[in-house]
Amino acid sequence: MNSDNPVEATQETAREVIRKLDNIDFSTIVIIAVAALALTWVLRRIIPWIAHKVPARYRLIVLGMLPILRLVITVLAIGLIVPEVVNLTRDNLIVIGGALGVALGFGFKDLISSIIAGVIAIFDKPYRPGDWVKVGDDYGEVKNVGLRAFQMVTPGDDIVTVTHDRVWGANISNSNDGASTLMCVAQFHVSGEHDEERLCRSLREVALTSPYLNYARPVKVVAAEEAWGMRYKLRAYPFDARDQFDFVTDMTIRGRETVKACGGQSGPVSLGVAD
Amino acid sequence: MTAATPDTDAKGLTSLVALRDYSAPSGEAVGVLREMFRPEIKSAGNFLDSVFKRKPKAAAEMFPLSEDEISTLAPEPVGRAYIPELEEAYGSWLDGDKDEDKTSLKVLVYPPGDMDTAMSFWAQERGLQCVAATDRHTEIALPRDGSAIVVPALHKHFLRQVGGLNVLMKFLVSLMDHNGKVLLGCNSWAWSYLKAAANVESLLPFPEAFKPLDAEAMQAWLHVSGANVVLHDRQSQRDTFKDLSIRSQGIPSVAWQMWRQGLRQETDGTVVLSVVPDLRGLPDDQRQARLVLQALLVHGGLKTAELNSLMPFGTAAEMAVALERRGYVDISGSVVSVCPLAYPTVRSLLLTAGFNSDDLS
Repeated sequence: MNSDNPVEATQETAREVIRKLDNIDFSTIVIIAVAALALTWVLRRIIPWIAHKVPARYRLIVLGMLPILRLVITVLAIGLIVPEVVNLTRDNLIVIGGALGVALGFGFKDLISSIIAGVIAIFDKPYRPGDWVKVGDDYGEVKNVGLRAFQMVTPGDDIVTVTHDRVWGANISNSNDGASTLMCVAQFHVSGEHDEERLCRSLREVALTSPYLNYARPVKVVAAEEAWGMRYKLRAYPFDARDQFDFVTDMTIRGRETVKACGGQSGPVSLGVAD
Repeated sequence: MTAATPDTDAKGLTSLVALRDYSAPSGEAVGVLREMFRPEIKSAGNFLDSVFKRKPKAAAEMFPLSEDEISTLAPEPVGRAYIPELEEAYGSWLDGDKDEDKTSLKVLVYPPGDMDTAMSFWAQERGLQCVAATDRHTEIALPRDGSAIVVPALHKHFLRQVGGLNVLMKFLVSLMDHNGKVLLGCNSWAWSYLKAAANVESLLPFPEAFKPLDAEAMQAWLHVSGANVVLHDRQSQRDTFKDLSIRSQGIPSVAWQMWRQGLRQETDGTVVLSVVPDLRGLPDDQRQARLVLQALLVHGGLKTAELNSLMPFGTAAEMAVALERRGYVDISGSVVSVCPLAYPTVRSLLLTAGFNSDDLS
């Protein structure tokens, strides 16, 4: 089947790589694609439901299985569909590899970069569903990890989509890294004469009496002297990371009362998570 | 000591173990999973019943019994639970001379229920001084004569708020300085909290706990002869009481409620023991509901005003009423407490939501 004309030769090669339309079993391809999509759809609903039912310590483990299972399904579906369309021989693989390399290198560089980063992220786990992460100026809970990007919900209920290729160049700060809780910090800026030791004890008591407190984790008060007075950081963990803002608010409001009771003047207080 | 000693011949249903060795009755893994997904399994069963037009037996052919019938078929257990056990475990120790005994203070940790009532009753029977909190803010003076004392409920000596642990700390110091022997009781949720908040584990000796009631002890305590009740699905008695022991976590007051509430009559007059229906779901604001339930467990019940003062939101009292309607709590006078029948469900809800567990698991 050799041809002297280079154009004809290329067309001939393409025909050999890709099966003839008559030989492609489109019904099988459709069935595989629909089955993969249906399975993914079911998993996206059933895994969060199971995560909600199991004890909290297993919640993030169960949620973390979703991106892995989706990747496995996608790879399997592609692995089953490709042989239906392509004649898989060693020469053909080289031809396909070359063509794909050129196409992807020029046309879909960013997309492929994101997908590769996504595959790495699924196994390296810099973030997973249920984690609280900070990327650039955005902070929120990771809701969904896809192959190209992940989505997180901010405390203001905005959904932020971040492509995985951000992991190549930006720092991603993960507050709980798969744990069900994370450190919360309430800060107190105190000026004026006051009993520092008593205040440290009382602030600790503020955290220890919060209904949100996970008391299996440590409670710490860190004090530092500043030019304007003293800065106190009350560090503690809520039993559920989703309660972090209620927890910090509760500690801040009751902590300010404590500061007053200890004779200090409480300045502007900033809220925040692990600092 | 001139105390009147109760009948010490009564055989105890259970015995003491160190708290760290406590192990709640648990089923096989399949049973645990089945329990976890019970509402869904039940819904699926109902769906299949409707598809195949089957009549659910429980709804159509079983009826609740009247109070009189229940009392006849399931008479109240003879004697209070834990009285013989308390006597066996602590009677001779309390009667002994303090100087001859290295231990002058013992701590008994128990699940929520009526152990504090049992301890008070037992102390009264023995003529021991029972030191109970009048309220959660007042310091209590201990007797100076060096007599043995029983503190049935340490969890009623504090309030989880700033300054609320001061009374407890002073009370603990006075207990440690007391000249006589001290038996200190505390509910397991409060103990778990006080370990972190008041460092009680370092201050006090290693606590002990009564083993949970197993199937045999449960049957003996409930005074079931087997002749009066046909057991559900013709299970063997042992399986039924094993199941009851697991569901109630071996806690007599919980088992007693499950036992009474589970009795049903079939159309042919046969009385069977069925599974107590599930509670309705938590009110809409589930997070707030769980916070209220945890506060009630840690304090062993609270007055409505106290409950309101502990919560960062101002609607704890309304939430308590909503929980009462769903069968989770009892409101008696102004005191709100978790229902014994609901305790296993509440415990499971809190642990699933990531709350700190008590030490009895």
